[in-house]
Amino acid sequence: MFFSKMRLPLLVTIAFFASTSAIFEDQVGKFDWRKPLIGCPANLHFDKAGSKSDRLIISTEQSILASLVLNTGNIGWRKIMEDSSETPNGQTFTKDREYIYSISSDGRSVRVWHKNNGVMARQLTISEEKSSVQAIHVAKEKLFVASGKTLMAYRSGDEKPLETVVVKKERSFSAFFQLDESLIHVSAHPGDSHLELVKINDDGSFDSPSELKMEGFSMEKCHAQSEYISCLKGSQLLVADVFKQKVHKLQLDSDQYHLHPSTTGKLILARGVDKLHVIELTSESGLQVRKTVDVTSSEAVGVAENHESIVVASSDAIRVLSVNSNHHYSAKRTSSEDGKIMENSKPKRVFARKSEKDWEIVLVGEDCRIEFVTVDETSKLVNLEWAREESLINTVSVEMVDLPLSESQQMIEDEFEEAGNFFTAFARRIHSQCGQLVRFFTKNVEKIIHVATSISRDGNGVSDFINSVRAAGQIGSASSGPFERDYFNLRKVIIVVTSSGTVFGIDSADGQFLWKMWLGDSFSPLESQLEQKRVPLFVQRTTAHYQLDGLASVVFSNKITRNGVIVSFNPMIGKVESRNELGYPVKRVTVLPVHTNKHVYPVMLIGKNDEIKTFPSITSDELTATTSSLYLLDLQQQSVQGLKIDISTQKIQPVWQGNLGLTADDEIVAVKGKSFNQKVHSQGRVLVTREVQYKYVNPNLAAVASINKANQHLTITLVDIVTGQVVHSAAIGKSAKPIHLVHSENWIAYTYWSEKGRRTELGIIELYEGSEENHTQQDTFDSKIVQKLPPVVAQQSYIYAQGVDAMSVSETEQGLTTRSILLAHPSGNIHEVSRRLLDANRPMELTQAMREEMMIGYMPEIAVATEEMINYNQTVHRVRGIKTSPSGLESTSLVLAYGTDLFFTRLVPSGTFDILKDDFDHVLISLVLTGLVVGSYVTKRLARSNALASQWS
Amino acid sequence: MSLSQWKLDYSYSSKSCRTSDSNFNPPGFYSSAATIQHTADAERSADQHEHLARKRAWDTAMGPAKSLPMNMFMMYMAGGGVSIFPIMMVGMMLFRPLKALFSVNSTFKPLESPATGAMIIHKLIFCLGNLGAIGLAIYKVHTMGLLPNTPSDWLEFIPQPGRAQYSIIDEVFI
Repeated sequence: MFFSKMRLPLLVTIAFFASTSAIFEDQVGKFDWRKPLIGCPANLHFDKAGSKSDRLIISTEQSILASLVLNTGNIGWRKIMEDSSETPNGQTFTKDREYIYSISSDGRSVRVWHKNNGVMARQLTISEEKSSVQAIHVAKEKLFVASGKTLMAYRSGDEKPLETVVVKKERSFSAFFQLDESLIHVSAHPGDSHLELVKINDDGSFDSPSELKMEGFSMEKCHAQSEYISCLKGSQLLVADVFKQKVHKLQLDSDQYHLHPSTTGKLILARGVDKLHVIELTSESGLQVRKTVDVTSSEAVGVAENHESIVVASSDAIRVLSVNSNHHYSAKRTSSEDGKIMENSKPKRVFARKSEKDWEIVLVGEDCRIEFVTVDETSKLVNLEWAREESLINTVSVEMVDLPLSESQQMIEDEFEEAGNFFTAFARRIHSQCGQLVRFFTKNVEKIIHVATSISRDGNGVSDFINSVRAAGQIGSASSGPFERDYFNLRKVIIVVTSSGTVFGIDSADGQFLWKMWLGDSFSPLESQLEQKRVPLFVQRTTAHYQLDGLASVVFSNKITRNGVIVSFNPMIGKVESRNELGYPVKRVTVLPVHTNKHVYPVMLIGKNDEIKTFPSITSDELTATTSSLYLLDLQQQSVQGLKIDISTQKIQPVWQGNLGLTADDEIVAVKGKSFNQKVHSQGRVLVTREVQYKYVNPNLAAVASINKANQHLTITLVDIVTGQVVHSAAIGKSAKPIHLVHSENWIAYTYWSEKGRRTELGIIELYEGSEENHTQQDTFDSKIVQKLPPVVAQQSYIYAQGVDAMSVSETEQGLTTRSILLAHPSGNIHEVSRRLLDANRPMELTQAMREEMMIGYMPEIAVATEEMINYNQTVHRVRGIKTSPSGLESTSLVLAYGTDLFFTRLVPSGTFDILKDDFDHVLISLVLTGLVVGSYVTKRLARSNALASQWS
Repeated sequence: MSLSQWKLDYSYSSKSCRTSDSNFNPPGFYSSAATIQHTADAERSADQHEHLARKRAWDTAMGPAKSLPMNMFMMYMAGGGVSIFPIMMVGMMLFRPLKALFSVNSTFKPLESPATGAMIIHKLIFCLGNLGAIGLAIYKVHTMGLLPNTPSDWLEFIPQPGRAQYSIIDEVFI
């Protein structure tokens, strides 16, 4: 009863706040964009959908099954399967006229999809066990599935299998083969030197297995296609004809060959260092090399689906060679990008098909770029129909960089840059203002021309006119505008680094690619201790210094030597400035908090044996007293060390050592610090009594989350890196992964799975210095000065009725706006929770004074309302990270969520308090104003003439 | 507005005046006695007059102080909420005495007379009363929480402390 009384006003307040954060229908897509992705293709099929347009059926390495419209490259439909730790789901699939059959949930079920719209027709459970050895085939109205030890046959449309065979031994290989009417399942067991063949009868029953001897069979060196299983054993090629049950042999000239994967049809491709043998098996003469083609290592090879031709593609040309004749031709690829830097990798795989008019070729690059080109045989031209950048699905690092200053802003900077006497300063002022005037006029003339053309184009109604005038007001934000900073600095360049080795510059206004960089074939991401792929990205110099270009760097490792590589580039145009390979593998990498004379923040790379190098190098006179030495946290499981680096002498020495109370059972799951330029605007919290609780903002504080496997305790330890002092430690019983942690200002928010409540919970820890007596005003925070009293800790937990995939916190320019916590749900939503709700000081009982201060009383749940989803109905799947960045407006934070999709939006945690509402009608209000002014003048005149007339009469 | 702007002088007599000749006087009338009488009356009224003027001056001087209890009650009734009516009342409460303080001399000008003198004490008391009213208004503003007199009001102006050491939390590879 008490609770129900308390809750109603609370819900009303919450609903009140929630309604302010939602967007209106006409704002959809105005500030946000989404890039749905499918991932790196593993399997690709051309498909004709009856009378409708063609499409590509693609299964990818990211467990996604998708259908792309062949004409446009847009996603027709996309099915995101369970994430698998071993092999991706959905890669094994087959299709008939109407359906697609795929093996999902790690080989435990078969899903049947409608080809046209991707709707799931049914799901069949095939096995209880996980297995990555899968095969599926559909023939004669029947569906045959093999997964792990089971082999099953279904009649189409049935839920129950016709027949099931479960073998005792694990399989290492499994495939179906069909030749005309006969159907055979071939499998191999690990360690056996023979293949097991099971003939399948017309009624779907399985014959007893027979054996075919095949020495040295291993999955890595073998390939199955149409009727053959071909294996390479040293320099010998073995090809087993499944239907004739015979093994053919062919001696190749060296053992450098490997079988070309993903070839279908009857041709077997063996690729050497610089040549490609096209081998065919004929009944008369056995194995025979039909053709030998010279290929370089930068070329990719594919066999046409419906034509006996080989397609060889490189970055700048495509060759088509007929197997049967000497007919061949080559077509040059030209890049159509207009002045932009777009570096693509060499192609990795080629899928080709011959249509009546031309060749349709899908190229998949090393960088997961899917390109669809058509090659016209007569004109020898390569037409790029469309391209998709699918490496974005592997995004690992994101930064947002301001655009360069606009011309007028530069003029202002210029004016104050150089010193001079009174007259030169005056002349400069006049000059810059003339420049501004000229710019203003040219801009307006451009606008008028734009409006005029759009009016003549759109028609001549009044509404058309008003619409075009409105649209003209917005051209600055669109891609047509110049490449410069906008008034509120809301448009930025998003730098996205992927673990596939690509770097993109994306325009935040509309999501267009500005540039692309390929980090080279030897690229390999760094592996972090928490077994995640990382490619650190640092913005070393922003565009604030207009005489100097921006500078950003990525750090990765060389695939062959494992040494660290640092590539510096201009973040605006993607031009590589320098590329340095270190002589050692990178152990840790960080950006220094001090800049050189050229305003570059150097990146420091520490090697395996504590070698230190900075890029660019920094001299000792550029270092200040506080930045000459840095403190680092060195976390190994169970032993924690504090290190001190002296940059000028390049020495690392341990300062303190301990274990933070970690035992052998403890596993560190997250370590979070604060970025060194985070702004905290308010130094305290005002209580109801008008007293102040000062925040304990320790910039050297690290939050370490660890989980104890033995007793399922989640421990959050806050440790001062400089001194090693444990500031606070909290233990939460009965909790489990996934654990997410954010650390900002004086608080730490975390989510965990509570085993006890069987739900996700959201916790918050806030640190305060206590009230006035304990607070001494300091100019600098020094960790080495001992605090009188330990900080006062407030903590609270809330029930959160959703799972959490990723967690982040909003950032604004001055840190004045109330922060929001962003939580990505597995269902594809991104939920914004205000810090007002996720507060450790929400009172249990609300007094009148608290109510006047608009405080919200404690309620165990944090409501998940649909209006608080910042991505409304644009679902964003498998979010791995959310990057927030401040804009020029204090109220607005820019957000990019990355996972299977990219989603960008603006976030206003406390509403847009510093600009007019988005739907503010300038046109209407100025019309009304001018109308009123004109009206008053007219009536004044009328009144005067009226008075005159009345006096005469 | 002096009360004694004109007066009838019975004591005045001249040759042309009939009253100077006592023979013509009705029986029992002595002009000299009447004059004495009138002079005595006039003396008494001037006395009263002085007293009145003093009283008026004191009334004016004590006015603000006297209205204090009433104002207190009004302020109490206005409540502590920050809304338009209490704010208006407090505003009036604050501005009226201020205005009065600036026009002390003009307030006491009409009361000036030889009897009241320079009225320094009156003015002082008047000022004190008004200051009391201002104090009351300020106290009211304080209880309403509108005065920036606690550290919490100046919190946003405290700069963010710099740092004596730089520390880095990063990921460890290999």
